[in-house]
Amino acid sequence: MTELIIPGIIACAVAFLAVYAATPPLIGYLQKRGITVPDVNKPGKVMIARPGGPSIILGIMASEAVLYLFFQSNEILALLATSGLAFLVGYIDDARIMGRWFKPLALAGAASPILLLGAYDPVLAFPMFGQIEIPVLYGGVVIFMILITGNTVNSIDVLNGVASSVMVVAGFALSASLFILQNYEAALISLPLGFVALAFYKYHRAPSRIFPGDSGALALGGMYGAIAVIGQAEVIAAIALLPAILNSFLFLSSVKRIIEHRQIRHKPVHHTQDMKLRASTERDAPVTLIRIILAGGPLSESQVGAAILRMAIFSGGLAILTAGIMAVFS
Amino acid sequence: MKLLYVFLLIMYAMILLGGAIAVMVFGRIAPPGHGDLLEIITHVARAAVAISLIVGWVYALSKVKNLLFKRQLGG
Repeated sequence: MTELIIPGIIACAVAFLAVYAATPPLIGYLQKRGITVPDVNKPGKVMIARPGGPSIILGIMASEAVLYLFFQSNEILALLATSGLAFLVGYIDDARIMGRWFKPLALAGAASPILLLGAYDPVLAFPMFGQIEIPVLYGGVVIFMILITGNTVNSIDVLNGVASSVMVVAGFALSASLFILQNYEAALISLPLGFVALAFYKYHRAPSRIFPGDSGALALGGMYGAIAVIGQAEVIAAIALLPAILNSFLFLSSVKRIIEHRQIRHKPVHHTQDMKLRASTERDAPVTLIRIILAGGPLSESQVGAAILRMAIFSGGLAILTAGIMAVFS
Repeated sequence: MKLLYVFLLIMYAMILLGGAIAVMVFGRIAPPGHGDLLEIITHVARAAVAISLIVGWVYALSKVKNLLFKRQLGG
């Protein structure tokens, strides 16, 4: 394990510093060219640079390339390719309005490097009860995992700083879980995710200077899903991401079809006169995590963000606890 | 807000329970002999069970959601 420490420290430093240094020039470039979107939760028409995906993918690529120089493993190549493809899917969606099926189908394609490079073990491990070997079905699990993690991280990107803070917590919880399970190589290649998200959070937190966009959210989500598969921690990864999964579940079970947020006719959240967020009372408005958080009364954007972060920490704790249980039972 | 944590814990418990069921059921689905056809039938049976488990999980979770968030959902 000691031979992993120096590459790990270098990769984490590269991940953090690449995003930390690349994001301000990206913000300047996007603002100069008018590639901005309004922040609908701020008074007046505040325009925010988007997408931040290029700086996020730079951090992922640079840090994982460092690790590849040390270890030359197929797992790192698969992680790089899947994150890169997920970023591209998001970037296309950032640049032009695509159909509602584009993202799910293209994200399924982003899982292909993991399958082609054989960077997986077709075993699904469940806490306490053992594991099942599913050589044929596991291909579907890989596709499903990238699809779910990519889309759920994208769907939680609704308020300043939420997607990046959730990924900081989920990413580090997944890394800690992999260390507990003594899967040190997977833990090592997972560490840059938390540092990339942490560096991006510096500019994404309220008041945001940049939004990740689909490219940033899908790059983070794609990388998270790839780590889950490569590290054989699919169930633990799902537990750490429960608030985002809950949000997607609430949304899909209320609209009952695949739909883009821009296609929603009745917004789930409105604003009070002092720009606090309040839950919609319209029956046809989709149910989302934020709408349920606001059921008790209006809250500021920061208060809602803090509530989601507390839920992410709670789920991250559950994931680490589950890894501990698995380590004891194995 | 407390209900959201209750719901997260229910989701967590259902993941553990789903895992237990999957391990039990999948362990019993094994090819009764040798041969490609038996292998294929086994994989199809496992796929059917996996899909049924996921559908059942989502259905059960929907029921729990409606029960817990009835007031918030305007029910």
